[in-house]
Amino acid sequence: MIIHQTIPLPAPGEADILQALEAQEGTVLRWALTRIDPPLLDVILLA
Amino acid sequence: MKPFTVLSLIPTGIGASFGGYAGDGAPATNLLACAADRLITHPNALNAATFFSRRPNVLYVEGYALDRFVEGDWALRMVCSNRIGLVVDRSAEHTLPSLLNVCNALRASAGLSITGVALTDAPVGARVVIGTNGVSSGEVENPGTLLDAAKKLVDGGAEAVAIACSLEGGDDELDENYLQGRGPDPIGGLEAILSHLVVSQLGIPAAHAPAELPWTPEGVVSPLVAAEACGSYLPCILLGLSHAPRCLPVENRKSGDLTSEDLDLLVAPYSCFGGAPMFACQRKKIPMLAVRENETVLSVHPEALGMEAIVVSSYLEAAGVILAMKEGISLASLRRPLAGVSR
Repeated sequence: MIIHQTIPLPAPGEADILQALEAQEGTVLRWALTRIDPPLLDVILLA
Repeated sequence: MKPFTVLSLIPTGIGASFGGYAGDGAPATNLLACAADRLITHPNALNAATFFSRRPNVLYVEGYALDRFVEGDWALRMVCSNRIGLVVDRSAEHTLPSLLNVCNALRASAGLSITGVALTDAPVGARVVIGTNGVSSGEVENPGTLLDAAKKLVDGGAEAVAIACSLEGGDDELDENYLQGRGPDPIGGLEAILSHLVVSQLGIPAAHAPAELPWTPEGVVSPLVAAEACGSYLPCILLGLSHAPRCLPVENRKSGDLTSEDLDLLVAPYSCFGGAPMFACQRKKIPMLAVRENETVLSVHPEALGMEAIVVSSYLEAAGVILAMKEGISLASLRRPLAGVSR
């Protein structure tokens, strides 16, 4: 299954993004910040 | 002199006013390629259904491969041509005759090498999802069946894989807006996901075209999407993949292969700097150029992320910046006032 997830972040920095990605279970196919204030990360995950 | 290499990104599914529709990013992409020695971009910047316009120095590289390339994990190897295999979603089996006609037409008229067609064993189950700000995305129920079919083709000698799936879901209002040249391409994000899957798991060039569109363009549509009202959606990806660079782990690179160290400049719309390539370029100190005129539904600007970027108003100006950088002419010397050098 490939799923789309939207994840709120504490801040829009690369360290916060990487931390959020590491917490995902599965292979990350794609990610992008889609909003800065408040920060939102879109992730496509091969679960 | 070192070849000046530019990466031009126009992320799909975010309503980019240049490149967010059907091949409408090609003129700007080809203009930048005129100014550069080499320009790398991704399929949706060029794909225009039956039409395909690519200058010879434009390298057609799928988005997942681009992410790995900019990170420094993958290298790119130029080729004279690729043998292409076509995967068709079981749900789109009824479109097979028309897809085979496209393949045969391009073999006969463009000399493409298309080695085989594989139907997936089960429906792929690709479904449109609309995310934050109307960004188009998707989910895929059965990625394994798509990978199995693609692997069969690769085992049979295919060096690149074209994918044609049936796409479910969507929204009538978004579809109508898209046909009028407004808002994100409702299927753009899902198409990227399908090609990311194959490239990430098999390490070969891949691109997706819908086996059939979930909407029917009627009458005269926006010029930005008119290419999709003119026939099959498959020709552009077959033409693109036929010369797409191969991707390989950077530790296997040979002389002549491209790596992120060859990259001189990244160009992207000003409002979408939140992707992996921008963070990688910032880290590697690769200059970035942000184009204001290419508006999107996002507001993720480089300044808000602490990124340094040269901001220009248009692709016309971007081409001038590329020429100046390539020829070693300081950008400051082309602007006024010109401040003096001080101790």
